[in-house]
Amino acid sequence: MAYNILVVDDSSIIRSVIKKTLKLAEVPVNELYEAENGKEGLERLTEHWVDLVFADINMPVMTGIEMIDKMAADGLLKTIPVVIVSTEGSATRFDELSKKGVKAYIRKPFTPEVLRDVVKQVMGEEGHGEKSQ
Amino acid sequence: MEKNHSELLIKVLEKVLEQLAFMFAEAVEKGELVGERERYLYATMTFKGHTSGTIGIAITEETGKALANNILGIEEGEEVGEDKSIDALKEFINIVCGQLMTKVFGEGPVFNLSVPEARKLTTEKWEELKARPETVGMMVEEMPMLAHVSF
Repeated sequence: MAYNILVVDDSSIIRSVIKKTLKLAEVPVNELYEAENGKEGLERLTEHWVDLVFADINMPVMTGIEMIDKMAADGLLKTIPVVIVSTEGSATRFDELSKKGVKAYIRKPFTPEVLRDVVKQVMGEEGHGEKSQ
Repeated sequence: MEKNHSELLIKVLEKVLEQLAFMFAEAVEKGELVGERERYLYATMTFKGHTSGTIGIAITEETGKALANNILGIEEGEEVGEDKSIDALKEFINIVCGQLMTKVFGEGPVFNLSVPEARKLTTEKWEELKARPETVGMMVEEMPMLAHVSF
């Protein structure tokens, strides 16, 4: 099954890297949508069917955490798995995000293998949040 | 900047450059960083938590291009736009800041990191930055880099 994936990050470099890494990791991608912040991310989610979201935390306009809170308040959007891709390494932060329903946490910089394993874990065995560094 | 903080900053810069961009860096005496008519980029960001502070990284425009090329896996000879160089530097400092917080304070504390800002730097401002006691000097594949962090 190929996935529709949304990448939400204010860095065009990181969006490109995730796109490239998904290809390198041979993750089956049908459509890849991009957004520069949480607000745009929510717009993409209402425009398109998305199977998986990769989101940064610190972004202008709307942060990844604010976007996740908005998704959680929506009956349909709250079912979409979210993986945080961030530079932050705080275990406390990860615990907070897990409580908000975040499925996994990838710390930048990351390898194709980490990304592949997280997609496999989240899409194959949903419900097991895991921190990947 | 305390000596152990500058040493940690250098270690983090080396590690992130290697992991993010497959580039190798080493600390050098700032006096060795002689640049003539170079054009520079300077990024800064703040962190707020139980301790607050600022981190800054300055590189040449050439290093910015190399950083963007390496992160994106663009072949040598192909051009990346200035926006990509700036974006690469912002992402670089963002990752360095996150990694440094963990190195210095461990995985417990939560820090709110600002969105990085980047701008061009004149040679005069580069020299001013280099002269500051808290600034460390590095060579990234034979290209100069300055960095500082204050808590």
